[in-house]
Amino acid sequence: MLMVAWSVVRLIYWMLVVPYLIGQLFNFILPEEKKTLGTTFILGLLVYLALFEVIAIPCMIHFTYYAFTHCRRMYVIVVSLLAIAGAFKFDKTVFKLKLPLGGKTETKIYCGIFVALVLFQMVMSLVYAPFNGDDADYVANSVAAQQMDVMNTVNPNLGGNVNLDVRHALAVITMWIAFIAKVSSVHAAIVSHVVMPLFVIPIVYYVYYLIGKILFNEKKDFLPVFLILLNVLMIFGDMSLLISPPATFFLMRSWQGKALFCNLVLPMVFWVFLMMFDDVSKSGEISGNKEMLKITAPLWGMLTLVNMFSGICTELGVAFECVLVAVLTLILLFKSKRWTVLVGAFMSLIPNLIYIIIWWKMGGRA
Amino acid sequence: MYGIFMECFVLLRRYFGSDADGELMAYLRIAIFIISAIYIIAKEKDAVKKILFGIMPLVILAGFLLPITRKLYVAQVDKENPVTYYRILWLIPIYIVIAYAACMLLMRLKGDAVRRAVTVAIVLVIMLTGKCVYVNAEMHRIKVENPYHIPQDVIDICDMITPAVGEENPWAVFPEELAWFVRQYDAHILMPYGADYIEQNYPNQVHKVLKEVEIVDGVEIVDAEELMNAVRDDGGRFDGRRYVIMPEDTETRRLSEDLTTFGLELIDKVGHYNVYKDPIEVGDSDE
Repeated sequence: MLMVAWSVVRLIYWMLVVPYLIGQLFNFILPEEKKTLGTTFILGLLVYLALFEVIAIPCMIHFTYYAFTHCRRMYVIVVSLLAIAGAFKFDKTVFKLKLPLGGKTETKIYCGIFVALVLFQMVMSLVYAPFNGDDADYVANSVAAQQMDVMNTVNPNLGGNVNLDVRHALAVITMWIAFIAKVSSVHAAIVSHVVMPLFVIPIVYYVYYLIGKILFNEKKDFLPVFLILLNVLMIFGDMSLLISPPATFFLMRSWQGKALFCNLVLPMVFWVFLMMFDDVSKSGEISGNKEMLKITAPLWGMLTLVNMFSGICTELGVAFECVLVAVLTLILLFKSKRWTVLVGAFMSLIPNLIYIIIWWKMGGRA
Repeated sequence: MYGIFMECFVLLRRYFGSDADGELMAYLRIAIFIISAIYIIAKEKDAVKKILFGIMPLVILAGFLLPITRKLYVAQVDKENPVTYYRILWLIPIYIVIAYAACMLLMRLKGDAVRRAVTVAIVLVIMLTGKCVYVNAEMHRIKVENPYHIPQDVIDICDMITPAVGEENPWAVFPEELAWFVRQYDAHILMPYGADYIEQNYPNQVHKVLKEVEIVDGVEIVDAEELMNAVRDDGGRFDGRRYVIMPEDTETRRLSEDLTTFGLELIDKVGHYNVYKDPIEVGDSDE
């Protein structure tokens, strides 16, 4: 029992505390009104995952033996240093929860329903064990990393050594799950099937909450209704048998990269762009390019991290992300009439371009 | 070109559930989405929101149906697996579009009672036109018996055959229904066939023997001799111990002979599975 409790503490530490502390280190880039507990955590999580990608991919390519140990040690050192530095920047003001809701009882009831629906989905992820054939690849790769100290160089279906599977290797989310499993001494199958849904479901709805906050800027009473409808759409979104819509991925395979991509990464892209559009509408109040850059640069930085997150989830996601960012940037260009947004978008896509080059170099073919 | 367009259109309808709930329901769901987007275009005053959640989703939808997009995707993006083309639809924020359009409608209503009634009606429409994820058959295929969310029989068998420190990794034949999970629990266990063989029908002699059974009087009979030949032929390439896990004989499926007649030792029974160990070195069996 004590061992289980100790593992839970370590899970909380590595999945919540460390990303939060890293977020605290970097949240100086956020404007004062956006420095909330949740946004700081999201920023930290994005940095935390981007660092994993930057460390894991070279380790996977370079080391033949003990690749996972090398990766894990380097990652622990880097994120620990950042977390310690973040701890020194502790800011208790972000813990003052400011719910942007009106005081109406009805709104509070809707909020309660929303929270209950999210909790319901989290509980159901424990009660049910949805079967999916892809787990024989994804979860088996995480288990192999944890138990055999390899990074995608063992055949997940049969065992035995193989060359790097280029189609899946660069999407290192399975290795991140193995990392969490190893440092918490929890089996990677438990982290995938139980811990990840509990981690992912609230984060996805938090991102939708952030989107809703911008959409319902002046009519905040409708925000909980919007969130309730999203919950119902997710729970009743399992439409197709053969080609899964995001809702099916979300509630049946929350731990897989594809699920994270279509349910977390893509809404994050919309959230970041909505913030950019919001800033454009306020730009009349800002004078000078330097002032403007101070406001826009952090958001392009956030977008860069989101773009890196897409590569962690799925190789295909990198291509999709480039298309979506290009389309949204054109709309931003139309709205802002500032050509510098093209520079920002290009800079944010540089990690994706590097990723695609690595993929080609490794023998990936479209 | 028309053929490619129809292919895309079929994919779109499948995405909205034509394969599960019929064409009518798929068209209804597509209509709800398109009406929501058009409603945002018509009623939203903010140009950005109108473009992002009204115009852009419809443009992406139109782009998805264009044959040229499909051709480009298959040629340049995912030649190996063109079935992933439907994932372009992920770029459309369908859930945000529907929920936002519904909220816009609610905002225009006067009177709390009307608004509450319409909210309930919208929720009911989503529920009745959607399908609950928790009734999906795949949700109920595995019973939750442990925190791994893996069948307990797999865990018990793997714990039994897993190698001690310094030992060679064992090689084990599992029946198809368990093969999916073995390496999700223990990466040390080697197998002759796994999930990809089951899904893609890759050739493997052991799997072939287990699949291509003789049916006598409605009973599936697995040829034990052929199975053992395949096991020793395939598993003989490995240095570790060999195991065969077979379900107990039932009224509908059984082995032609008891595997112990081929020198296997029945080491234990887990659930309704027999766990056999093959003590014969391949060199010996060849002799």
